[in-house]
Amino acid sequence: MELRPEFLLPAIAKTLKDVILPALDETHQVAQEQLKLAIGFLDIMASQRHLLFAFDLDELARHAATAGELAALLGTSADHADLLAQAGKIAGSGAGDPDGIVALTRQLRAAIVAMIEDGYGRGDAALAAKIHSKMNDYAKVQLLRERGWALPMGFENTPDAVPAIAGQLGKVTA
Amino acid sequence: MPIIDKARPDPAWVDRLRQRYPTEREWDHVLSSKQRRRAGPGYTPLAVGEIVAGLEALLRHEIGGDFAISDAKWLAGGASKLQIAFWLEWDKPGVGKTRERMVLRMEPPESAVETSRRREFEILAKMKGVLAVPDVYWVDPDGSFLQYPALVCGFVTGTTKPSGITSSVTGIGINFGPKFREPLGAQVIRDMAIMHQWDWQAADLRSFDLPQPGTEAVEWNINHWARVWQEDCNEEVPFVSEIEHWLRLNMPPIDRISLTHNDFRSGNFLFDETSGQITSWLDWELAHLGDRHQELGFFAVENMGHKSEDGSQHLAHGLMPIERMLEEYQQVSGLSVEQRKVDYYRVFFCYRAAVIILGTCIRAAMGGKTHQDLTVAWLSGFAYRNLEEARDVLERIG
Repeated sequence: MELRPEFLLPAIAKTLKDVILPALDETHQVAQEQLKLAIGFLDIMASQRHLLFAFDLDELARHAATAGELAALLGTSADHADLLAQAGKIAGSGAGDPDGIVALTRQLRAAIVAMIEDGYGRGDAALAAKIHSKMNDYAKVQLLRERGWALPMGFENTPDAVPAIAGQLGKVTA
Repeated sequence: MPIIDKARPDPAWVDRLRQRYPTEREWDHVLSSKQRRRAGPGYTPLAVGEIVAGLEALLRHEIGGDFAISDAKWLAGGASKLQIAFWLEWDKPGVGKTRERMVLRMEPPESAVETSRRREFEILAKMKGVLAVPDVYWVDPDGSFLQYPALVCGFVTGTTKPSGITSSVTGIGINFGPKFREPLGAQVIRDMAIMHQWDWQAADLRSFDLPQPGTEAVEWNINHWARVWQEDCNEEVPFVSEIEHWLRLNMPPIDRISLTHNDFRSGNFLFDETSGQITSWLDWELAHLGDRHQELGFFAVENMGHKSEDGSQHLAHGLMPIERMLEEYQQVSGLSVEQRKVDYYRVFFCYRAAVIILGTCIRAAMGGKTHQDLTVAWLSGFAYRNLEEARDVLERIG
């Protein structure tokens, strides 16, 4: 099968840039902006599509680790044993159904949020401080990944300060 | 864990969120209305003529039949509202036959920020003569005449940024340049001080709830955005929940309740490039009664500013270093500034940005609910910088 996104995405973006954009009414600002954003999204999807699986697998592994640490902190590891075992198995193997990995990470995200609620709800200041510290450590890495993925969108004031996502995921090719 | 279908929310689930996150009645009203519309159709392109027909119906109801609308055109700008400029010939009370340019501001089925036209209309009317704001004329708060809730205000001249500069899709990080930033910065401080000293108690603000001194207004504000996050987020973002808990544990008592615009920033005022004077403050829809430090905390958000030309200073919202802004604000307003509260609201605004961008914008784009779905989707890329700034502040202040 030849009709694959690796060439179709850049081809669509090129057509929009070369043919459609010049033909668009320059005074129609909303249309101009929407088309430029469409091209921008296509460019990002085309250039980062090959990193998506590695990104999702990395997210799964880190969320599983954070969920496991929080569960240990709260003494609720048994409640999350199945989820953590399933995530650990896939993260360890480095293989799995892409949609299933995203769904599992979403379960982990929800579990982490529930544990945050549980922890703060106990009214224990020392425990709250530990959760706060744990979530700060988690966020430090998670946000770097997210910012790396969103880097081509141009929101960073100092883009050089954010490592490219390929490098963060160990996927730099010579 | 029960699966919630947020694209078709169960009214009982919405009601539980209402109970869990009590907030101002008007905010509750607009958020609940949004949930009732959620399962409905997405945005279908509207022709200007269709909107004008609704506008005519509104005007017939308000002023009778003696008017004429002409030259109605789409206005660009703003990620959350449909805006049309038009000319109205009418018999204006106290003036007589006149022709003036006006703007219709209308919501799409869902927008980046769901707000009340009733409240925007009310506060704009109250601010006339206090600050530079557009005149307001009529409101259709529940979409009885137009396709969606809308208001009509006067057309104001001016620009959000100097000619010839480019900025991001939302106007984030506007660079006013050395010529404008000094005079604009001074006016921003002056207007902020006027707003915070304004006697709201004498104003009979009917669509605003009046908070008790202490933390009630802070809690309403957090509850508002926590509810929005619960109703809109597609996937959980654990650090958003973490920040919400930090905000609740560290709510600063309010020593003096002030009117706060709640989106007082570069990009939300127009200025005249010849005189350098601010011609109008826009987007009052989030205004509420709260802590003056809220505005100051927003100016402290570094993501909204940029470095000076020589790289030696960070300019808050492109205007001036935040330290200087806080100092001058104290001098001009005569009101004290507490750094801890500025930091608190800096974190709050980073949190709120994440709620809007990662929660509502993604949800609206997924449902095809706006007139510019790609704009609201594109904004998602800005959320992570905001969360990182919050994380950085929290790491510093604990």
